[in-house]
Amino acid sequence: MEISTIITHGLLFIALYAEVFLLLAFLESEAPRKRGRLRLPSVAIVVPCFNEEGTVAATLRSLLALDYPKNKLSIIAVDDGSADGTAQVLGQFAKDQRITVLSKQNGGKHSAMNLALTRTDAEYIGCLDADSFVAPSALKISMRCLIQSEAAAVTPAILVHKPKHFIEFTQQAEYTLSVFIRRAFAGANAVFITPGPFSIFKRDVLLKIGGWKHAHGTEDMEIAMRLQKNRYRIINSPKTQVFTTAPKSIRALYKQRVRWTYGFLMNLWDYRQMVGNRSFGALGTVILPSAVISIGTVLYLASLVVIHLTNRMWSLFIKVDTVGLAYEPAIPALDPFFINTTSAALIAYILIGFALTLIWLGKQLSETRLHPWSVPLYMMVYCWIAPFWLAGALIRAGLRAPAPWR
Amino acid sequence: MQQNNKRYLIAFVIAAAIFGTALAISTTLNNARLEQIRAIQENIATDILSLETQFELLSELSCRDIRENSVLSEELADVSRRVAYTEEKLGAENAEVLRLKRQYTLLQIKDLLLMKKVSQKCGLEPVFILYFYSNEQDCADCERQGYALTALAEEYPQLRIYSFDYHLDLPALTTLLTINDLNGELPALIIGEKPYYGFKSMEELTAIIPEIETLTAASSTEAR
Repeated sequence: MEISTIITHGLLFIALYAEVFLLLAFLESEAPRKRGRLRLPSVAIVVPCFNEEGTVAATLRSLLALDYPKNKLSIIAVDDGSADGTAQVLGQFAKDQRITVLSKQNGGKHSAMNLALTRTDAEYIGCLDADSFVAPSALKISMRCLIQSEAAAVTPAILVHKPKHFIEFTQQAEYTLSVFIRRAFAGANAVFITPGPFSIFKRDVLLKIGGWKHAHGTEDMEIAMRLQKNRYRIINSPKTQVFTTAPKSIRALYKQRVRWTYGFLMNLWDYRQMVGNRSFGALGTVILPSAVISIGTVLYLASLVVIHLTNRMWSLFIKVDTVGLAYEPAIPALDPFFINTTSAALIAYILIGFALTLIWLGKQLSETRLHPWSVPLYMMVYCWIAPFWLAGALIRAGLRAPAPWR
Repeated sequence: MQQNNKRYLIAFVIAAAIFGTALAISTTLNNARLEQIRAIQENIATDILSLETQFELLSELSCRDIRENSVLSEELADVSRRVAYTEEKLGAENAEVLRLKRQYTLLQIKDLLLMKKVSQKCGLEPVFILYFYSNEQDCADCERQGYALTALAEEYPQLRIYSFDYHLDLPALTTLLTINDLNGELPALIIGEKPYYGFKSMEELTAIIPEIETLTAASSTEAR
């Protein structure tokens, strides 16, 4: 057996193991307890803004529409030195008693969050990126989960806001898959990202661990890793619907994903003592190692595809050069004999089947709808473009060259 | 921690079971594929044997009947495609693939000999092209030569092209190489008993075979 075949099978086994592990973690995750009358605590939702004049008004309106006792909810919008019309937009909301508008010099998302942390005495603090919007029931559902579990933080289900472009539909399936993954990670007590859109934290825990830190453009991963390192539990509430503005072009998506992956790699390096560490449970032994291996797997398989396609193109070139375009290959008849049934291909089919099942589970969990083209687009488009952003992020991480926000 | 250990183990057992099942299914399907090729080759062998027997027994058998019964080339071409695909997927060193390839090569040689006899008896003048290639790194132009011959066969289906892997370990093939006195340079073609070495384009091949324009009967096997 060739070495490449052995490597491919080894990587496919790891991918299969990770998917099965997630499915088990999901099946064993705690079911929400019965609803009863709970004392809803005070919550402050912070909206850090940097040049968000186009979306922040809708973000704030969605927060004002939250179904939550008015005396228990405060909203803090922090203008982090925006150069556009964000300050004017925020000014229009300053009259509302529930909203506090703060302004500061640009210092990054973490500094905006920390400023808000010093200006509130609410029991819980949430974050909502200024390009995201919450469903009216979101806060109540998240808080019920959080109170009942006594965890330090809760993450929501993040969905694509009103997808219209094909690249948004592509991301819709990915976000739905993420709904499942977040739930499964929580089931394994292995959440390592508390996303900017509507993660909610216990304020006293935040103060104990020192608030937010500057962390390679992915502060939401760093704070989750720090919570895990300090043995705090992070749970997930898949019924909490939060909608975020997804990139509308492949270029914007590439930039966003390079930043995310770069941040992941750099934070992982900062918290490398947790990787492979059994004392951190599934997070240390399965989730973080598989996340790293998955990057290697995608790049390795992509390189095999590139080699294969290059060989095919070269053969095609030789053919055309030899006999001209007149002898184009005939479309082969549909003969089951020529269906690829190598073990690697069969395992790949199984992995795709698993992925489709997980997307469906994510859809059921978040009670959302998927555009009919979403899943096919996701399957067809991501395999071609993901290797580029993974490679881009890997190069940046190697060069210690931070990925820009925009 | 204990719950995690249990989960690791269960996940491993399930993943290993799925993985093992995929391997087993793949092996079964590959065996079925090899079996399918074997069955087709057996059919061809029977057909050749049958035709040979008829030829030996019934000298009065009309040439028209023989020609009607000798349409094996399509089947040989089909086997060629299947063997090539299986070789690509299972590897050129796979023992079963090698066995099938040897059998296929023998069938080609048998067909070649039979068609020569038939041509002699019936006064036909088909053009036989023997093409020797290599899948190893010692034949830079073999891929190109294969395309040229396939295109030529498409244009002139009456050509009888037989392709042989030069390095295949088969006594009958070694004899064929010896008879034709090939010097080892590849690609090599035998056209009208005469050897030609190196890549020959479609135009060159057409020039080498002047009777190509007048071909009416017979067909060809696909070149690799």
